[in-house]
Amino acid sequence: MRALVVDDSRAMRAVIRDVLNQAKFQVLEAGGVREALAALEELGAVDLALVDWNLPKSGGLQFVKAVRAKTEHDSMRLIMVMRRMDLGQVIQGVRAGVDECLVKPVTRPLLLEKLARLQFIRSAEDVSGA
Amino acid sequence: MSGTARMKPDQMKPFVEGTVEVFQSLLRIRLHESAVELKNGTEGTFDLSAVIGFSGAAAGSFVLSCPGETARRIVGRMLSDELPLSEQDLADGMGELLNIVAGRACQKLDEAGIEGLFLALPTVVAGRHRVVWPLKDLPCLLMRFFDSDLGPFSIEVNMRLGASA
Repeated sequence: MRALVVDDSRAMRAVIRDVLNQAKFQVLEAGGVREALAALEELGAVDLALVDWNLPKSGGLQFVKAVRAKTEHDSMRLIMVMRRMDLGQVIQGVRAGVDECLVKPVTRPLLLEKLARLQFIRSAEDVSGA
Repeated sequence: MSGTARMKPDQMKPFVEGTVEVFQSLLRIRLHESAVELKNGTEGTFDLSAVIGFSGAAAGSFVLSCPGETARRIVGRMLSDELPLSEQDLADGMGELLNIVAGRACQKLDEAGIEGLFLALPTVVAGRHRVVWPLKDLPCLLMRFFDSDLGPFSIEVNMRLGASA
């Protein structure tokens, strides 16, 4: 399984990468929308993408819209990572094609719960900590 | 106290446990707790501090303070790659670490019946002369961690239960 993490913070990408690696994902990283779309173009489709809502310049929603406009990414599951629970943003995200929303801080149990909900893992207990 | 309650030393426990757990899971570091102290003064314990405020079922602030060198080791361990650390990486890393620790502490407070805490966005400040003004008449509790192989650091909690901010 391959995942793409799109966040302008290296620290945030590292936190997410650590959990995804434990869940046996090969992780690609991008610091912004343009870089993320270029990575998909170059390396092909991924199974999962985690995208920060507050990406600089265009914002994470632009990435979601760009990806959902292409049929080759139809099977990609999308998790939007948000600073705070904002119903308006959630609705915008879901309408654009987001599968799950995750509110920071991104913790291991929370992310594993989302992965289980999207059926990438059976349950959080199945993923052993490093 | 008009419907609010002062912080007791054992209410520091969720923050201490959250710190120990997150350092273990995220940084693979086993920390040993020291005694809870009463903090004197408002200046930073070390020269770099990550600060987060909270409101709702309790109001106050939570601070993780460390020397710059400890912060570099902590964030370097978080990123676990060989690329050089920028000042922005350092600030992002310390802020995110504090956010995760505070989130864990809130979860523990929630389990203890203090439900409905809301975290603000973390801020990272450099310089020992930063001041986090404590809530009026409330002590700031401090715990130092010396025996981490990443270097010394401390956590500080100033909290009033039952307040909404």
